[in-house]
Amino acid sequence: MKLRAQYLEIVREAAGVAAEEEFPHVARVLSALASESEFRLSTLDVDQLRTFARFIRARATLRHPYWDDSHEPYVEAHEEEFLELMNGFYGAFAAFLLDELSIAVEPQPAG
Amino acid sequence: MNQAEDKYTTLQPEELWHIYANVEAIFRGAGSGSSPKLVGTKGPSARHLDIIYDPVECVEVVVPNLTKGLSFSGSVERLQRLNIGGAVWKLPRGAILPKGLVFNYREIDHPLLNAGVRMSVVEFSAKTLVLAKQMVFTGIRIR
Repeated sequence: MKLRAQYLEIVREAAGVAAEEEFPHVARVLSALASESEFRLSTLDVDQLRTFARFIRARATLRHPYWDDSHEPYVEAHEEEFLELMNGFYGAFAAFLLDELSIAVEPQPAG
Repeated sequence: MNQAEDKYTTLQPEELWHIYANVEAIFRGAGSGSSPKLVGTKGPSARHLDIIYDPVECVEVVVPNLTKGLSFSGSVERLQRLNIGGAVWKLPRGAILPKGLVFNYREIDHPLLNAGVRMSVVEFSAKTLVLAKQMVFTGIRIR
């Protein structure tokens, strides 16, 4: 399988984040996806990519705990930054995993 | 309906609900309780759109790209599998897509809202606002 060109940007960005966080296997897999013409993922690769997406998601919640406008405490700046991440890097990466690699961040729908 | 080699399809406003014939709505995650947040406070996302500066008009413009767009979803379940945090909004069946906007998709459950013709960022934002006014909060929040 070959990575579609439209995913190169998000995969490279994610590889950079993984490298910064010192996640060696994820960084290696994403770099390989971005650079190799063909790829085949192992079970470990899939598990690590899913865990990485969950890490990004959890980090967003930890950094912006007061994002939810239906609960107190609520902080508008937290909401803005959290939703921007959901609509931005996290959302794009999660969609890449599902659409291109058939990896659901949450195989059982989260409520 | 335009289909590219890469199997992306572009839906014009009048085609939208013919293709999404079997769903009550299409959905958008990462909204707040008061807005679907199609466009952020800093304007449309350059991550999801091709935005360039037009030196003649002296404005930023959105250039059509059928592989890009603001993410929607064919189901709430998909948003839950992605675990996209925030309020889930829906564009109900029959809603009218403003002229000039299109939905692109490769996977039918992942429609992408984009400009169908070159237009200024201001015009794109105004049209998405018209669309947002037709959207309804589902009452579902993914936390």
